[in-house]
Amino acid sequence: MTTIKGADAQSRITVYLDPDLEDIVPGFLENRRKDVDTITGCVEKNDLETIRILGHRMKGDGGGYGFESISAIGEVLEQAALRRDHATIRERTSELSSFLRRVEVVYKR
Amino acid sequence: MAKSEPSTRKKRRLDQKTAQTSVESLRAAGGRGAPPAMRTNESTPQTVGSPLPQRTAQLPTPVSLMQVRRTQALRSHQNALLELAKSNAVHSGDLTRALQAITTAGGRALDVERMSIWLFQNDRLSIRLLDLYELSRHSHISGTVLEARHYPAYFQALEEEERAIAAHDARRDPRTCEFAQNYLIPLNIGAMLDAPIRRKGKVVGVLCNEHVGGSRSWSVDEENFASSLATMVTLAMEAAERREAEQALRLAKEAAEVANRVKSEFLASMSHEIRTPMNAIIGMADVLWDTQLNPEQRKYLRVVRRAGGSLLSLINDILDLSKVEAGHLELDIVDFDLSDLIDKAIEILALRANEKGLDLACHLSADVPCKLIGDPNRLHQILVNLLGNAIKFTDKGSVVMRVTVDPEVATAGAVRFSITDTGIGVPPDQCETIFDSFTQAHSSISRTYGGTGLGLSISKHLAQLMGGCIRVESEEGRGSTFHCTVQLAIQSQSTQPETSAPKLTGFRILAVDDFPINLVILRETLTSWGAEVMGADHGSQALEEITRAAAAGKPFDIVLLDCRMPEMDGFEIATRIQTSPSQGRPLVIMLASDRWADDIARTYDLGLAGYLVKPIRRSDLSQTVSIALDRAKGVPPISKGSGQTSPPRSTSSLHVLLAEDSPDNQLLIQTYLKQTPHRIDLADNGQIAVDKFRNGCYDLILMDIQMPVMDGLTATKAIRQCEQQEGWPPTHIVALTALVLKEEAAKIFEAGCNAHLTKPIKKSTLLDLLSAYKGKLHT
Repeated sequence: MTTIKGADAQSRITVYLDPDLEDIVPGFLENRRKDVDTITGCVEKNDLETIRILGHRMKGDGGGYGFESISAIGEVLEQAALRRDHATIRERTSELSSFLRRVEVVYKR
Repeated sequence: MAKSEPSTRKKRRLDQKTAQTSVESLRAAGGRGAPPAMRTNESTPQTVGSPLPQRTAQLPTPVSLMQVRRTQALRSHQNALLELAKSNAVHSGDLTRALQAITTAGGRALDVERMSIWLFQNDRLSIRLLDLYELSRHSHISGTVLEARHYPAYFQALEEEERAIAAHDARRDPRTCEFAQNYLIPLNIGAMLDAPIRRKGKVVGVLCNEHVGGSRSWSVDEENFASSLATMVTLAMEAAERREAEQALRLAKEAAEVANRVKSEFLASMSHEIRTPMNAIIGMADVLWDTQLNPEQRKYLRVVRRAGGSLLSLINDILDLSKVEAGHLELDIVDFDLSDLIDKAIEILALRANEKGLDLACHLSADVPCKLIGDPNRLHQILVNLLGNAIKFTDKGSVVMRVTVDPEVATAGAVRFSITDTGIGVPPDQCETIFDSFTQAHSSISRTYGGTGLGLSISKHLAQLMGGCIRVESEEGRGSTFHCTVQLAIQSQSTQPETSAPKLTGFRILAVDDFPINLVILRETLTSWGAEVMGADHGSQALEEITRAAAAGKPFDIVLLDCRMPEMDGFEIATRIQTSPSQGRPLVIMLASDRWADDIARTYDLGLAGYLVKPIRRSDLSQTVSIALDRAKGVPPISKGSGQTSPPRSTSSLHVLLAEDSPDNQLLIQTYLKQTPHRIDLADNGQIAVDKFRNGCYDLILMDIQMPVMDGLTATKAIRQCEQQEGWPPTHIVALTALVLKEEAAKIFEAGCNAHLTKPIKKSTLLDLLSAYKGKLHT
């Protein structure tokens, strides 16, 4: 279950997750941080296909881990890559980066 | 024409004259008690017992005497022929007896000393005596042979003469004089009247009348009579041949029956003998399957197991059929519950129907007694066969079983099962033959649909053993209805109410389904449990009913919603109910299909009261409704099986192949399954999945659709093709995708996926899915 506390850009976002996922969530978040770098590089290289794939994966994986926001961002990235909409891609990548900085996971049944 | 009459002949004629020339004697002969041959023409006016007319005193003229004689002779001939026509002997097929009857009656009527019947031998170079009747001795003899070469003129005449050979003076007649020295003179024969016996226009023999004494002038009437007797011989020969053919047929039939019985007994015994080692082979192959094998070995072993299973199934069919045919199949006589039996049969076939996207439903009429006595296993076998056939031969539409009291039988316990499909149908000329062993409606059927054609034959025999029958009504291209009737006994305590049925008196339930038979089933079943049931066949009608009921102060307690309906699906209705402002919202139970694993997941997500997997079974409906009501009342649910939102999960293991390109999702699914007994293999793309499938053995494949190298749809098609080529049974493939558009879903099923699951995948949804498939693999 995801709960976002506060709407301002600096506040923490606390997400409550099943303890069963404790071992794999840090890796998942780390991979998303790498995705931010990859997408940034791809925008510069105009590699929209990679962005589409990464967006698609985020859309499919995020909710399963309990991060509905990541799924939502992934879906927009996928669509934006298809539309070649660089502005939206930059905007959502920045949103993803912000989310990853602020997210705080609490494992709780 | 005879030139001189011998004394005996003259005397007889004089005697006749003395006896018959007076009209009085004629009258006496024509009166009651006289032999038929002596009766006068019935058209002559007379009154028995009345005074004789005056002219009886006058002497008869020669002309009238001739007429009287002719009349007498004709009558005698007619009576003889009539007697023969009525006689059993001629038509009995016993040729000897028939010929003796003809010669006896004919000889007497024609007043000849010797009448004989001769037939050509096969080489047509001789004739053989089959019967000779001698009037004075009242004796019959046979056996003499006359060769054509010794009597060429006679044999030539036989072949050439159109009519009978009437030799008035046989010793001088050129056609018969050859017999004079050796035959006519020694036997004192003066005249011969020989009528050819013909069959199909060909002379096959001769009927000979021999007058002993001097010559005799044969009249045309006598010639005709002789010819008629010859025709009678032809009839007797035909009757004999017919009897011979019938006897041959009877013998052949008896021999065939004996051979069939022996065959059945042999098959029964052989099948049993084969089955024992087959069980060992299959059992050991199963044990071997669970050991460490390289891909090549596993591939070979898979063929062994599949072929073994097919062979065992065929042997079991043959064993059943031969047992039935040999009369060795005995039915059990045990108590059983018909409703349970139907549920089990439906459950077995539900997966197959779901896979083909068919609506499968069973309607059990309320007046059918369920507590019965009979052979539940054999009845189950019949129903599974009929339902299985219906599903097999239907590609689109529905299969519906209606169970009613047999309307054509007044006895209690007579039940009729009518299975209606919308499939390919049966051509009218094959509605009977499809019940024969090893027969299917078209020879192409077995190629297209498989099967041996034994199932229906066995089912028909079983139904007959149960005092019923199976018949089919069909329209080619439109579908068929198979009616199976059986006569069962009713348990003595059958009046007791159904103990497992929930008590729903006072509850109001709305059933919503666009498939009419499901509405009928829900309405009747729930009504029989005491509920007040309304029906709606589309979403807006359902919402109207709910609103109207709430406004009237009589809201529904439960709403049963079909997940998939045109225009507005069940979830949309459920969402609207949940968000409606009215108090006391009804409990919502979804009617889902296995094909849409998502539906079940969404039931959890929406926090609904429960779900039922179609086809609707009474036991499931009873449990789901009871649990939903208990939960609403705050009673903790008792775990019983399907229907509740936390079904028990099987502890036995499945081997799952996950085709997924996202490492994070691979890790997530692995984590979900970490604490379960299920084993998982990973494939990063479709190509790797196909390779792993070829060399491994999996119970279930989770197939992501969008993957690099080879996407999920292409991989699924490749797997299905491989299965077909290798003759492997289909493995369940569940598509994983974020796509939910109808067109995308259609592509997924067209590619060969069995079900669809929407990402992100929840742990509970995945575990439920595995549990459900595990259950099915065991049925």
